[in-house]
Amino acid sequence: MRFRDRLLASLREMQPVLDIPGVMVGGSQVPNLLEPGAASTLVVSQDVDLVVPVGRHSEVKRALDRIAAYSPAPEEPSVWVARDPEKLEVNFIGLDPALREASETYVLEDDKLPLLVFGLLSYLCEGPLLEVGDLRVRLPRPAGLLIEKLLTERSGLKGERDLLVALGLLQVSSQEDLEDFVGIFAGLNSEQRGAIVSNLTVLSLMKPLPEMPDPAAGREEVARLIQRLEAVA
Amino acid sequence: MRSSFESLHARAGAIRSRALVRRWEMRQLGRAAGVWFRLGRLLAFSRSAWALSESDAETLVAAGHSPHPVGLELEPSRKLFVVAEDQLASLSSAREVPLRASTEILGCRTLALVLFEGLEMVE
Repeated sequence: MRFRDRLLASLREMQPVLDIPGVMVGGSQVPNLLEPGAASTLVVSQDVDLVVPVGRHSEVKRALDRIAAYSPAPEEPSVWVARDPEKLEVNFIGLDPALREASETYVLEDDKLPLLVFGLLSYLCEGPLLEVGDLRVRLPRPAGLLIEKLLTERSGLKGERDLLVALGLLQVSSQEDLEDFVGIFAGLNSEQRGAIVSNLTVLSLMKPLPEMPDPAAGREEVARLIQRLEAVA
Repeated sequence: MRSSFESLHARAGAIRSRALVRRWEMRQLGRAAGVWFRLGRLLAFSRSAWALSESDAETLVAAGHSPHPVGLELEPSRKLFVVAEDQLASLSSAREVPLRASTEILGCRTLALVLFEGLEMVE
């Protein structure tokens, strides 16, 4: 089964959750779904993040009651695993629009669906509705996700994957998306701006990881973006 | 269920800690850590990097090139020359080094760097 088929089949199972306003796919699968025809060639992880606004948490829990193909992982109930091993794990992550910083990240305790509410997810704004056959998936606008990925502190392989997600987003972003990104960047404080430029630099000099997009392919685009951002500062 | 909350709290705590460390690191950009930041930026703006012999470095200096200041701030110092691509032909020792964060590139004491077209390094 191709990765695209696995991803779309997994999302189809989650349709009741995806139909809730404000819920969107986040993280590494966004560049895959933004590719023409949701081609899903920019694979950096084998799971899918669903972003849950904290104000929609109760609705999401009710919708999960209608999903038989998935159940919570016993050791980590914010992660749902499919009975069919071909389908991807689903990570539910919380978005609280009142937050703005990674240091504000907190846990929303709940017996059915606890959530790690990431401070930086508040940069995500609802973007295009992707429709593939009968599947409808709300995606975030690339600019906000790019900001989130480039502000996330890097640690080990997860950090490298975050930067590869940023690379994938740059590859699928339109000129308008980049304008949007520069606009958000202009509103950040100097520490956050420094972190973004620093992480773009790290991305530019990253070693390729096996079976993942090659950072060398985007080096010139990254360099030009850094120069553009420095002109804003 | 309680232990899963503990695991989520542990992850949240780790994220908050890294955020504080990052804040400290960003403050350091104007100090010692700024050298690494500016070195990374110079390498990010470079399309290719070439290890050079000391003799080729002297040739570049004789032709009026100065090593980039950021390399001279490192210990031991590195001579990093920004050159035009057509100058490489006159540098007989030039050996291309992959532009990646690696011990190979950091181990080079003398490098010629060719920037992406239209990009300028402003100190």
